[in-house]
Amino acid sequence: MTLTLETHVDLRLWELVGSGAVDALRAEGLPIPEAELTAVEHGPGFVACTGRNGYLIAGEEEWQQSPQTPPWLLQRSDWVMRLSGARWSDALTELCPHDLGRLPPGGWFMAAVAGVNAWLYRPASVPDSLLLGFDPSYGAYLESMLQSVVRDPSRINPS
Amino acid sequence: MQQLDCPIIGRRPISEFVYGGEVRRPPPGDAPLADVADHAFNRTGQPTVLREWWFHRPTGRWFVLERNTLSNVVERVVPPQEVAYAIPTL
Repeated sequence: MTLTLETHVDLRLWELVGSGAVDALRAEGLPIPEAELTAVEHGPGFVACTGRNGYLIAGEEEWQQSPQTPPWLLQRSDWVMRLSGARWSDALTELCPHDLGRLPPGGWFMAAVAGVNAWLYRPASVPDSLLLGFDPSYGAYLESMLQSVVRDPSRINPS
Repeated sequence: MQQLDCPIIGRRPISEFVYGGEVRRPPPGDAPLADVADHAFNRTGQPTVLREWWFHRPTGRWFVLERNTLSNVVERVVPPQEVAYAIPTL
């Protein structure tokens, strides 16, 4: 079993908030998640619906809001990591009280990982991996916690 | 592990929540000091169905829940309109 942790995933993150958010996504040609707390894949990143009029967009490109779009567009500086390997969900049972193995490919979840608020996204195209994003001030701590699980497979409970 | 079963985001560990206290109607601006002190310091401790603020940290959402404080069962998520009296911005 091989688990790998990519500690710095280079994604640009934007938060789009406001009553015109869906129109702004549509104008940019971005996919629109169907329901709250779901996400759709977009290139190497995703578009996630985090609330009634709130979206988190992750991609490789910078995004300039056009003057016509009314919602707030805020750049986020989340620290993003990628945990890869067939048993990534077993590894996270060490750090997260949720059974993340039930997260379907393309699934989006917001939970506490090792006590840190985080968003979790399982890309549909690479279901044996999980993207984790969180406040960068917790980066060193969460990196050490995840590395300790990745380096010591004996800590992972047999499933 | 104690869990809070929220009808909107599902069953979540209580450690992901911050308790915001009972939803209470604030006293009017010209209320006597005794009423303001009562609002600030006194709580009903008897088991009941209580309207409470709960903040779910990972999703950044505030909820108003009606929770039976005896059985710890969440009976209802209260729409914000129903507690507008406690939300000055609504």
